[in-house]
Amino acid sequence: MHHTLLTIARKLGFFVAVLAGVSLAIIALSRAVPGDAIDQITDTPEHRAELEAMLGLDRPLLAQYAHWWGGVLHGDFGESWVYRQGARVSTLIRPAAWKTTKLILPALAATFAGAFLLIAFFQFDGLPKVKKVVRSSAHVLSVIPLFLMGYLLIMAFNIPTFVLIERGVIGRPSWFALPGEEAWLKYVLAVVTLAVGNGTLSDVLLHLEAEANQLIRQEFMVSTRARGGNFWSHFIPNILVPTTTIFVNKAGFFLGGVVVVEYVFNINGIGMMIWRAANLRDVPLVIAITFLVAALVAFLHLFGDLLQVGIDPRVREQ
Amino acid sequence: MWNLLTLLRRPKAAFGIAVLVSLTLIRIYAAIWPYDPVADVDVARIFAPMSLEHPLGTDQVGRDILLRILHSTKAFYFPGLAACALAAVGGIVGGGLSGYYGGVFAGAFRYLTALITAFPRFILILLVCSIVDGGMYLIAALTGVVYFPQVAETVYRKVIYFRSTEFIEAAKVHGLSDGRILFYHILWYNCLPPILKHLLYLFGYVILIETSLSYLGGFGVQEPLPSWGNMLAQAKDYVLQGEHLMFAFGPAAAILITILGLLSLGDAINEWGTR
Repeated sequence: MHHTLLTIARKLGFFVAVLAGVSLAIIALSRAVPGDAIDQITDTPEHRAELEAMLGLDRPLLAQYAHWWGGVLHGDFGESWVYRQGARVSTLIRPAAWKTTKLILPALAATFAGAFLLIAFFQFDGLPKVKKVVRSSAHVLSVIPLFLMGYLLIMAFNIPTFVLIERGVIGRPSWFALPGEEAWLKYVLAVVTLAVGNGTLSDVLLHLEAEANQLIRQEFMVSTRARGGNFWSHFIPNILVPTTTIFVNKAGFFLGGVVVVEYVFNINGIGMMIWRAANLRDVPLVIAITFLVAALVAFLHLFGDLLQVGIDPRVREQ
Repeated sequence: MWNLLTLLRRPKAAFGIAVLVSLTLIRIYAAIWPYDPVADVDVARIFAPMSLEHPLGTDQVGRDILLRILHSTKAFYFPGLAACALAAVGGIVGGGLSGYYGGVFAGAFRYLTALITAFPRFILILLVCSIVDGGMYLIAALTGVVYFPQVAETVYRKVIYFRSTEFIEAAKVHGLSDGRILFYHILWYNCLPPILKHLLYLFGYVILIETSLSYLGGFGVQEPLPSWGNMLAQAKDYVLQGEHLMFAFGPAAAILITILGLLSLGDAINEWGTR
């Protein structure tokens, strides 16, 4: 018990240290070259010095770091410089974050569900050629960059439909959105793109399959099946730990891929927001989103670690 | 040493090597034969069909598509090599030292890895691009730095494993220096295939990042310089009606074949080396 608490405390401490390091790196990076955005607004050196003083950029790095953290602990991430001048960054982020969550969670679920289905399919004997084709298609599909996959999906749906509409064969389907309209198909395609593209599906499949195969060949699993015992009650808890590890590792991937997918499908989430903010050189907004995303990933790693501590007694002994 | 012919017999490796060699040859060609994107504009031959003179046709302002596809390799080839160099050095030094000596090295390495892997790569690139007007080399360097934890992790595991083997203990007893043991016996003879796999994956990843950034538009390769990404971005407006498909098909095929080739070669080398 004492051991477990120590392990948990150690991991929590590590998480806090990572948060501190991540935020320091971000702030140091952003203050290292206080160039572009301010240069866009000011014209004379005095004006620039004035603006710097107003924004607190002339203070030493650690003072700025402490000031930023002071704000963050109150939920205040500063104000946007360019994206929407003067608006509080936290107010800007909240609706966008919700939209992105609605995109990422289904995509994660789809990737893992897809991977498990494929693994179950591969377990059955027979159909070796079909299996080979499915395996290589999963591999090839995953190589496609996200933007290309989104683009191809859009074209695959739009071009035939457009041609058919032009020739008067069909009327305009409800999902064939005109610019400015919302269409549910857009979200479905975005989720599929995020789930499959960029190596995620094939990576998850590879790792999960390796873990599952290794698990099934373990002696206790073989003996359970031999005596007719409950396969699933032994399989599921043991596959849970590697699955969570893979899940946590892929979360960062999804958060990165969200930028491209939101751009291609024109969804106003966090990815689109940081993209526009980076283009506009709106540093507070970019910093806030980067930090929140990095903190989320670090938190997920912590969560995965703690889950392992809870599930796997061997980890507690370390 | 290893018989390279056995590598070439694997279909994945053959395909991958073909892609890599073609890529290098194209890059050399692009270096020798200059291409002036502005001079190539000829409004008289907009969207010309495929012909002997323009094997893939021309784009919306009359520039030859094949030529632009070939010259797009300039955007990522050397930046990709730079990224690989960074990741290799960082990974080998970091993973090797922390695996061999442990202690403070391993702790610091673990912390640094946690810091770096906390950032989604694309978002970190956007952060840096919004601050510094970098260009492709900075982006590639960043990608290399972000990737080195994976290389280092692989090296670390291998070094930890080999550190306790008998032949390494024998080498130490014989008085071989630590450096010689680490770099020669452990790394060179045993770690090279996985490291090469990581580096090839990284090269493919740099191509992915470069084309994605060029496609999105703000950073990456700008007009009029060609890149597979920005060719696709232009193509998307014209292809939606179902015409001029080659405009998009050329760059898309180039991206797919290149990345697939690099990843296949990486996999093949890894499988071949770790029989």
